Amino acid sequence: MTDDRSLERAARSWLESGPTEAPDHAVEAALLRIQTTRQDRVTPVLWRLPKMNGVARLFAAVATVGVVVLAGLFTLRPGSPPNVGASASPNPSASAGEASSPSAPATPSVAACALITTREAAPFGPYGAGTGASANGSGTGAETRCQYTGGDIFLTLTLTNPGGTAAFDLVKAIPGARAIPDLGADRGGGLLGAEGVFDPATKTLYVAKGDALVAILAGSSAQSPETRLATETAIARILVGRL
Amino acid sequence: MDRVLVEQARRGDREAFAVLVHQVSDTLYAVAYRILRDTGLAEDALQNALVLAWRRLPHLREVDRFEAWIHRILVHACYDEAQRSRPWSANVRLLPVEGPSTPDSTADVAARDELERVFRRIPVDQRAVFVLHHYLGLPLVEIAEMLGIPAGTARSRLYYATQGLRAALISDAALELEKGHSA
Repeated sequence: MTDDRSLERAARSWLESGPTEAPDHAVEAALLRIQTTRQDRVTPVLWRLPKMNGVARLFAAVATVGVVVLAGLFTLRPGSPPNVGASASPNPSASAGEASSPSAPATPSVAACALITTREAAPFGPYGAGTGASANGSGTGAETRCQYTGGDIFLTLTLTNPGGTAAFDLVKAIPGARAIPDLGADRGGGLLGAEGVFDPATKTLYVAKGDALVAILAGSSAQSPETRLATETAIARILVGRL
Repeated sequence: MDRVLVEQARRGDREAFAVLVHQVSDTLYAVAYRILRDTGLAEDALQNALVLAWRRLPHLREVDRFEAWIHRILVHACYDEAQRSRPWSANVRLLPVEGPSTPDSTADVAARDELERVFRRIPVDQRAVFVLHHYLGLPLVEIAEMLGIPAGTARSRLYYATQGLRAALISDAALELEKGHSA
């Protein structure tokens, strides 16, 4: 049986002789396990072209290097602010004012905190202008929050963007909520496309523009709803142009 | 193989996959048993292969290659079982009456026992190629494609499996002769 042909013949015959049917219990056990097993998720690799030849690869590599170099030059160019984004303010005049004052408290780089600077917020605090205020940002993505304190928290801004339109629809449906028509007037008297709704129950003013919604909660609990509304409206007029 | 069933199973249809399982499980088990030479290990390999195939089915690009694809999974499951198995594990299964209708001669039984013994000494990856080639009758190129190995590797595995079998048989025969002389 040791020459190749007879060996193969014998081996084939021997292989044929084993079991040819899977035991039912093994198959059933497998099917039972499958009932509680999730399939893998297939995520398409969108960033990769299906076929890249050598030239295309070279172009892609050169382009990538170029982008990295340009980004580096832009970031490290002489005269660029060392803390880009840390105290960015959408209001150029306010930024200039803060930059000229070394004691101006920094505003956190949270979207809600970019709506109004601490300097602009300070006059609405319990001690008035000149006493300063600090801001604490929280949240990421679509919902961010900024709280301004000057001893106590005197202003809370909650920004929803995107998704503000849907949230604003819910706000408008709050029983007792009323529209604030004279909101968002810019220097030219335009409304800047903003809408306002005040909820007297929570003393919160909601300002919506585009798909952004900001909830303004200002003042102290001892103040009347009308006083609170007046304060919040004043704040709204500052920030509505930045939405 | 029903292409529609594979597509349905690929999209998460468990019933469609169960139908496929019943279509392929006999062949898969037969192959697993012949590679591993142990019913318990073969059952485990079959179960693991089926579950893994279910999990990975969404990754299957060519639906027409389902059978080759699931055989590949099975062979890898056999490798795992072979690694896990202990060399002293006993196979005490009572064989079902499904062999040849005429009883084997004593010489045949002796030859089969000999083959059984020496086949277990061959590395499992060589055994897999040997079984796929001699039991399923697959050409080496197809086996190579199925297992994701070069054709040359498949060829050498088959060669070494055959040579290993022959060498072991010669060695055992020489040993028997030696015993006969000394007796």
